[in-house]
Amino acid sequence: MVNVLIVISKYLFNSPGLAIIVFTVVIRLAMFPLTKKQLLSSKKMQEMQPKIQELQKKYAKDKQKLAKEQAALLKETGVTNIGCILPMIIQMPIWVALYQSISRVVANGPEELLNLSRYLYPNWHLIYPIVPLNSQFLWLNLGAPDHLYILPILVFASMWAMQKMVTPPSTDPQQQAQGQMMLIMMPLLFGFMTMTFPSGLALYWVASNLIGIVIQYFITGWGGLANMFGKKPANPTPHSKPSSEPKKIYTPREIDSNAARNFVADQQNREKGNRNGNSGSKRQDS
Amino acid sequence: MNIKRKFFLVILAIIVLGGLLVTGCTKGIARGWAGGAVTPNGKMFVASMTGRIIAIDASTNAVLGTPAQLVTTASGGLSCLPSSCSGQSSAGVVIYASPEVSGQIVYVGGTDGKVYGYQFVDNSLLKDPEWVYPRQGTMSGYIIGGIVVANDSVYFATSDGVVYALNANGLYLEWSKKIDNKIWSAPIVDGDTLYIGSFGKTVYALNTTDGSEKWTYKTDGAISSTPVVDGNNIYIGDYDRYFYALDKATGNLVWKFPPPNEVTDTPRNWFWAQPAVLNGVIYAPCLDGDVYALDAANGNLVNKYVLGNSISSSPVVIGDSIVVATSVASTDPKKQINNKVYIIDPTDKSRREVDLPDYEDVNAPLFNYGSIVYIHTSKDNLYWIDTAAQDVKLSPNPINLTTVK
Repeated sequence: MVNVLIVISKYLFNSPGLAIIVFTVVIRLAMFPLTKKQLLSSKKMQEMQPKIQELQKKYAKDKQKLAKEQAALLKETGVTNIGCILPMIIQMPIWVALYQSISRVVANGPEELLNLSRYLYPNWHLIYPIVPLNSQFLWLNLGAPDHLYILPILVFASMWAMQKMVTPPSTDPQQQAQGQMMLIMMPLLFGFMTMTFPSGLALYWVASNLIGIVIQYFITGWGGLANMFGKKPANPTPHSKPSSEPKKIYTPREIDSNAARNFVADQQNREKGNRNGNSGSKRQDS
Repeated sequence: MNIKRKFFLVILAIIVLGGLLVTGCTKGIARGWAGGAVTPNGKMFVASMTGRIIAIDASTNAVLGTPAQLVTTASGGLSCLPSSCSGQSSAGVVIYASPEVSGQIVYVGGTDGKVYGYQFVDNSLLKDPEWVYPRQGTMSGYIIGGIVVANDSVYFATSDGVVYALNANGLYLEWSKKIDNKIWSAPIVDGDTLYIGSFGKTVYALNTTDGSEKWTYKTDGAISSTPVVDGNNIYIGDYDRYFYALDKATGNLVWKFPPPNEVTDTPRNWFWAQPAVLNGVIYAPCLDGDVYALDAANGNLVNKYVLGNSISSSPVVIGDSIVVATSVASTDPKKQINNKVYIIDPTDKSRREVDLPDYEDVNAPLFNYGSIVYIHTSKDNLYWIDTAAQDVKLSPNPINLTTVK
């Protein structure tokens, strides 16, 4: 990746900043199928949350039964925890490799430059005259932190927006508070780290987050971000019509051992309705 | 379950971040690698990786007095200095430039944008510097390459491409000139000419009296290596993997290695360390792990010494031998071999080897006192070998420059 990044920067006006952005876009697009799978699985999992919570309430004292019912629910809907996590785990080494490549390419100190020399392919003759790369990009020295703190703010904002899109609204105050805390903590952590990391890495994070937001929009819609602009929460896809039917609220009495099957039927009807272009779907309540 | 999943994701993110922090920050931390200077009467001055200048008696290898400590609160312009990574408000100055000694004054420059002159009296360095340049604030760049004392002046270049000449007696500015955007090379002075290479792919020859330009020579790659002067030529290695011989009076190209049609003995990485000259042969150490012995007259390859690990430390000439030390080259642990110090005898092409302890790289220039060669390693240990001994051995008890009192 190090050598590819250097070559890309050569053909992008000797600008490693542009190379980082282009390379991040390419990698993001190459991993689009995995990202899509992960986002759809996460969305399905979110949609199941009310049902799972109801099961948790109902079988609060019977853990075995709860586990059995949850397993049945997951099995019938085809959603698994692994489905959410596995694509992310598969992508992780690629992100770490990309991250490390960028940190090597924007070598700022003698140790870093000496380290970079170990990763250069001897047969790629064209990379030798252009290394070390020109580390200036816009107002940034890519090998040093952004002293204007613009990138840390962008990292915070883009990461917050991305997380907000996938955070489901909750009526439970405790859950809401926890959700809010997590919504702020991660972007804050990354934003803070960006203040001390080379800005080349911060640029990668901003680019990656912005692409992530676009991908997420096309797969799952604006999600929680829609509320920020006074819009209704997003639909399964941004192009599908909104459902006119009020959301079903389950009472504890309605929950019985057929819950899983009903939920599946409900989901199937919704999907069918969407495919037919209907504004809503018939519900088969028990 | 939702909360659990989020919790899991947060933990996962923290683990990944931790990994990134470890690999991204601490690995690239700037620590410096300065060599040392030795006076004719055996007083040696070495810069540690903690920003200390340590005086040592070369005849007994005993530490003299208390080390002088350079402390900064400035970031110095490097991305991952110890202060910025550890969150400390101040840290020892990171020093790459070997100290220079002239009379009773030890000159040292680091990454804090200052040059210091410490007085050595009564077998001890004074705690506070005698002179500092600039008196107020810092220079706009920092020193990576090195300092040269010649013609009663102190010459050096800073990372932002400015060459300075200071009066050696007081560190007053004589002249300064911005010649490039970035310089990590140390200058070399021959008569009234200063030669230096730059990241701007140029070799400069400047007049030492006023910094005016005598000539420039454009190469195809960046230069961080320090040139060497011998006879009518200057010799310098480049990141474009060529080694150049230039006429020192005109800057015209005399020869370039490898020649255009050479395919078998082409260097596979940058020339980083300063070359050495011995009996009309230039010894050009390369990061590819080879030392290229080139005929100074025409650049023909006389011999190639394959050492395995990369060579970023500048060699020294002792009598009829060249002493070279290596640092680990391969990123693959299976291909890594032990670092060594090699004593190469070009007359019969033989070499003696001394193993260095595991994980101790040598990036600092080697320096010597008589037949004793000093090796400053990446663990801030100062080892020495006696090249005159039949059975050359590494000193069993190195001086650790971080912990020495």
